[in-house]
Amino acid sequence: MNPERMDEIEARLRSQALRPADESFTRAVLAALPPRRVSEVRRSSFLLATRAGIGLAILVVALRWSFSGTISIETIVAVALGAVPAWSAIVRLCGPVIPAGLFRLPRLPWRHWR
Amino acid sequence: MLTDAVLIARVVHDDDRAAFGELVRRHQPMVRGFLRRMLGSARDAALADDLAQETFIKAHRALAGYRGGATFASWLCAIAANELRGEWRRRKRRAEFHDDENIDAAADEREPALAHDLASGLARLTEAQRAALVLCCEHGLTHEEAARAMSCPVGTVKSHVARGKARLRAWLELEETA
Repeated sequence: MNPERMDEIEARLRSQALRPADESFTRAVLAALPPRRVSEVRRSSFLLATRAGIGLAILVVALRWSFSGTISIETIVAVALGAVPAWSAIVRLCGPVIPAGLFRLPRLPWRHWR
Repeated sequence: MLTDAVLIARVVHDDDRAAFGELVRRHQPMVRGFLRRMLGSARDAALADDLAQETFIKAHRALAGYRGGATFASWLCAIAANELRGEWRRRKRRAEFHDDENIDAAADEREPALAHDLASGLARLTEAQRAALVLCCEHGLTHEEAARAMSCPVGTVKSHVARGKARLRAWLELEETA
């Protein structure tokens, strides 16, 4: 076989190369990727910061409220009504604000479970 | 322009989706082109794209294990070739299930018998010859890179390229005389 004719085949293959490319393919691949990995350190530090922030906010509101001297039954009811959905939304979004371990009964030496 | 190595490092360490998108943008012409040529029919273009998508998803999953010994292009082609083998196995099983169906006959029916063009010439080569020709001549991979992608020795790739070219030349000469 003539080498020049062979190179002609190669040139023809290269000139008629199939090179499909479109942005929709890239988008489809990115959409099909598994969800982002979040490192354990980043996740736990985020949770810690969220809990600290929420705790501080509750503390500030409680202090301002107690110093303002306007405690009435209506405000207590209004705050309680607002706090329930706010608390459940926070727990849903950020996880438990108070670690579940705090709710567990302490294993005291005089308590026998069996 | 950032190199593949930098983009890969960003994907592995920061799970950077934009960097992976750039890798997909950069390498999709080769992966999709290779798979379309290997499946050999315009009707299979959608299937080739599905396999290419699966190739990139598997590459994303395995990227942390990529050590950079092979070029990223040949590493991707190796994954694409595995996807292709899986597809052929599935086709073979389907053909065995419908035992009157013959894969090669079906492949021949897909291409018009008298269309002596490059695509139908490539479709008439063996799978290995076609893969070697498409990777080396069409997409410019070296013989070593193609050997990694095809999981075979370099000498075998060289011989597939030479034989594939000879058969393709003969096919195209038929076109010229017709």
